[in-house]
Amino acid sequence: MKQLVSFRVGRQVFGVEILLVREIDVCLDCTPVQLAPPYIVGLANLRGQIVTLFDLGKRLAIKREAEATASHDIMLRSTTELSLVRTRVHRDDLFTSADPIGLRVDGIGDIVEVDDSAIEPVPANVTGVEREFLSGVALLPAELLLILDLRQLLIAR
Amino acid sequence: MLNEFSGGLKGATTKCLDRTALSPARMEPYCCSGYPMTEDELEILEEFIQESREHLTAIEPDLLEMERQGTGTASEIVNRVFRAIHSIKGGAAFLAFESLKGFSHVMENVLMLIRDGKLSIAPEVIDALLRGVDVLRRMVEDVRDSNAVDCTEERLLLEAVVEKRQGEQQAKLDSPAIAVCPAVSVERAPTISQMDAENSGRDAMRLAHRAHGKKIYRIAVRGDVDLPATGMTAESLGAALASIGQIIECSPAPGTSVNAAARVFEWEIATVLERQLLAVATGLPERCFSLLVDDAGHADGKDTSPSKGVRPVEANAVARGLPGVEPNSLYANPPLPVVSVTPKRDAVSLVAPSVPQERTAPASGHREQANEANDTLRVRVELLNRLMDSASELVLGRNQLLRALKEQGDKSPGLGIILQHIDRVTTDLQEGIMQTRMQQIGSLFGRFARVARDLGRQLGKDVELRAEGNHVELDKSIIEALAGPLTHIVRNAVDHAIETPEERRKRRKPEVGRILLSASHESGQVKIVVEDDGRGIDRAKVLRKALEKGLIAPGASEKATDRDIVNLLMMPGFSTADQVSDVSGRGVGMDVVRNNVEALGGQIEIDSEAGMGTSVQLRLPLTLAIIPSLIIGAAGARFAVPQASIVELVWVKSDDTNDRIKLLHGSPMLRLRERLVPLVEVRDVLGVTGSAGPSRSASEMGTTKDQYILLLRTGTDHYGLVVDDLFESEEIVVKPLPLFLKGIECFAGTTILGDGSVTMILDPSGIAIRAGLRFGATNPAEESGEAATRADGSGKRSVILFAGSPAEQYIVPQEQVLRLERVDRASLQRAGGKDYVCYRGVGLPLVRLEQFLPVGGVPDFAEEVFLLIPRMGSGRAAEPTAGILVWRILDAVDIELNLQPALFDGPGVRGSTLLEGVLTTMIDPLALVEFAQSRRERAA
Repeated sequence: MKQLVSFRVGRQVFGVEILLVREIDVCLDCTPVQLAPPYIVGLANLRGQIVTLFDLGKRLAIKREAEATASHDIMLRSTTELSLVRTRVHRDDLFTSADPIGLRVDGIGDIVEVDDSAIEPVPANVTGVEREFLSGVALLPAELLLILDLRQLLIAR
Repeated sequence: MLNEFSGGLKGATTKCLDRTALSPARMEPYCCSGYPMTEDELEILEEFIQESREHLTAIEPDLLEMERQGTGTASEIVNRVFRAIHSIKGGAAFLAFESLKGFSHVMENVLMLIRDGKLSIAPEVIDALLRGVDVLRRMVEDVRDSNAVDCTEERLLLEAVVEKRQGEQQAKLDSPAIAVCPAVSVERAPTISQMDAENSGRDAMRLAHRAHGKKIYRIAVRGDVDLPATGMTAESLGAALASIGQIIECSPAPGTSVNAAARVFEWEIATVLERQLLAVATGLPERCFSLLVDDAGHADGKDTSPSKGVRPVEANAVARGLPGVEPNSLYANPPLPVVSVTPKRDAVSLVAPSVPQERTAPASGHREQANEANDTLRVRVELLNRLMDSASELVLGRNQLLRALKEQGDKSPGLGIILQHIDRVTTDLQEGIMQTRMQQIGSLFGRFARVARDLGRQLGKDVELRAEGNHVELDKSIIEALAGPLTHIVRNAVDHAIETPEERRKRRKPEVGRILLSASHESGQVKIVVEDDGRGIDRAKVLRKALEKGLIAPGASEKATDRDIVNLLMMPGFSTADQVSDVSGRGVGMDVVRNNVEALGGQIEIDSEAGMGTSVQLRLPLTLAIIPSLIIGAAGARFAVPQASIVELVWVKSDDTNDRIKLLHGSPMLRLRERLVPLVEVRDVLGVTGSAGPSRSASEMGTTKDQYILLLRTGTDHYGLVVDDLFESEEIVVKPLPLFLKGIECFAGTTILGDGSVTMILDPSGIAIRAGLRFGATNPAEESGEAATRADGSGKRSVILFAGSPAEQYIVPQEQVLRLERVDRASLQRAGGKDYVCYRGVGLPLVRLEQFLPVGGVPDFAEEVFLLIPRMGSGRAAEPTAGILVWRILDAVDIELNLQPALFDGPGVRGSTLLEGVLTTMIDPLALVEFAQSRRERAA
């Protein structure tokens, strides 16, 4: 049984493990960094901590029709924060980055509970999204939820 | 420490005997009890590692002092070293790190010989001991794998040293003491045997049991008489014994099959039972049991005769295990009278005459240490860093508060006083916390005595290193960052500067070369000087090498100032070593040193007098966390520039711009008091286009409005950074670049300004690199001056000569070439009808000469070809947009250019000339590439 935070990028719905999420904020003021990889929106000041914001749409190479109106930033837990949680919860498969990272998305959905049995590997015809960033697909009653694999996402190329 | 540990030990003794259980693989993360380490045990382990490190650090200078003083060494020093090794051994024994324990034991033996005057201090001895310290350090660093560390060489070295000396002092050894105590000779045998190590392990156990009020018995059971009487086999008897006490030792080893009737079985057992009860419990006659040590620590004189000489050794080992045992460290109640336990008490005191003093000395010394220890506290560096961060933020908050409430202060009278109070307290707090991170530089200087000594010996030079200003304090991170550069400088001094003793004699210098390390505070900075009295920098030699390596233009060498010489020394790839000695002289040193020092916000300078000596001076800031900076506006954003890198602010008024800002080869220069300084635009370097304000092309620059130029320093070079706005000076807390941005060389870090916005901190050297600025040993003014006179195409020019095909050769002015790279044929590809080459992970458009000029192309058989990348105009981000395919690079020459009309027409063709009888065409690569580019775009 996994709990995922669901969110939307473009028209696609994604999910990320709730244990990895520290908080969700409305779009923060962000300083762009010149010469940074294109998928990095910039740096934001989160109560004194400097958070690197990812434009998830660009990172996942999702085509968005209009200039995407990002609405929220999902702040991920850093490895130190996660290790504090992990000891209570006994999960080995969670992976995050040492630096604080935020994911800028186009819309926030509900928290969904997904049974492990309802998770399938990514089907071959899911295109338009970088497949390597997905760890699986959840079959929800209304739609298909793509589950993010942060391991690939957070490796600095 | 013992009390917590003994629990584990108690249950562990039987397991400890099983050697297989202690194989290295099984060590992690279990201690000798075979159970996973508890938090307490982990803490003990960490403490052990920490203390051992400190011991090892403290030993080195003492060993060097011993070498200096020779046989006249104060016994205090020898004892100190001995105690340090002994502590390490004790801890290692407890934590069952067999190799570490064994090796420390070896070193301890040698030190004991020295202490007792049985071994005189000679350089070889100190050498062996120093190498031993290195081994111990390696073992402690990765203590759980310490059993895997190979120390046979060092061990043999130590044994050899002892053997050699022993041979010389054999007479002394044949004293009555030895006859009385044959055990001594067993210990002193040249082969420091494994048995010693095993025995010490058992000693530790015995002491542990005694401390728990147990008695230690030896049980000797004759297989022919006693054993049958019990009706048990040796194994079952052993098991029975195990149930009434702890077996420390048993022989023969369990599991060996023996002829029971022929053997005497022996056990050593720790138990609380009285002898009578033991006899009853086992069914053995009382005579089989002999009490070795009772719970009060007194020995029973009635011992059965020893077998295999084990007992005397073990008894003495017990005694030996004691001197120097720190009362507080290993045991709760050190039974000091135990020394008197052994029947061979006299021998013991003869063997180690200083034992009584030894016992009191550590006790009192330790008490002092203990007191001192109570005044200090070990704190995790991570915590201090956090405190430091918070204090820095507090300082900035206070600054903002003061600014914001400056006016308010007049309105409400009480407020001013409160602000003052907060101001004062914050300052105190910040200074205090900065102090916690301050370490004395002496901790760093201390290592260099050894470095200089070892190196000197290796090179056959006599070098003495003195340190002054050991008490000067620096932030811990700076000290750590300095270790590398200082080591290199010291090694350089020993290797290159200090002459051999003969040479020094010839020059009437004292035979011993002197290196002085000094640290002092000077005008808000820390000044560190490495001074030697060696041969100084040989100007001619440096220039020669620089010319050889092409680091300096031939004409400039005569005019080279002392400054230039120093600059040359610090260029990558420079080395005057005739042979690249193993030591230094790989020529990768001084430039890295300079970079490191500057990265810390410091400066390095070298002064030298030929024949007299050299002095290297480092100037460093006191702290890294908060730096003063200037906030500037450029490319539509704000940036912070560290004050330390700013030399000057130049304001060029709009009407002056034509006068002061010149263009040379398309690159803007600033005329500043008889110098020409290259200019870099922030927006160019950061690749920003379409930002606030019109994008200026180089030719437009200087005509629109006032220019603000920051004259920045990188190393000893200067360049000007053109910015749009100057804001205020701010003290900022430097935060490191986030992981994902680490590769961007233009930025040194990030910070949060008073208004909460995240701001990037610019890195002057990074910007210079990205802008493609190349500073040479030549004066930029000179270079541009020369270039100007050459504009008409005559005079000597540096060109690259290459062959485009077997039939044609070309020259290209060197300054127009950014890079020449060798590429494999395989990386040449074609896509969409256009040529590309795989270059640094991207597909770079490729220009083939034969596409645009009536010439031949690169032959098909060429496996390896070259890529010529033109410089896209210096002063701008030099990202190559295309490369020219070239067959062979022939040469780089300086020629008297005599340009004739070209042999054919085409883009980029500038003329032709005759080089050694071969017709050569001169090409402007940039023009060619731009032409090709425009063609491409049109076609696309």
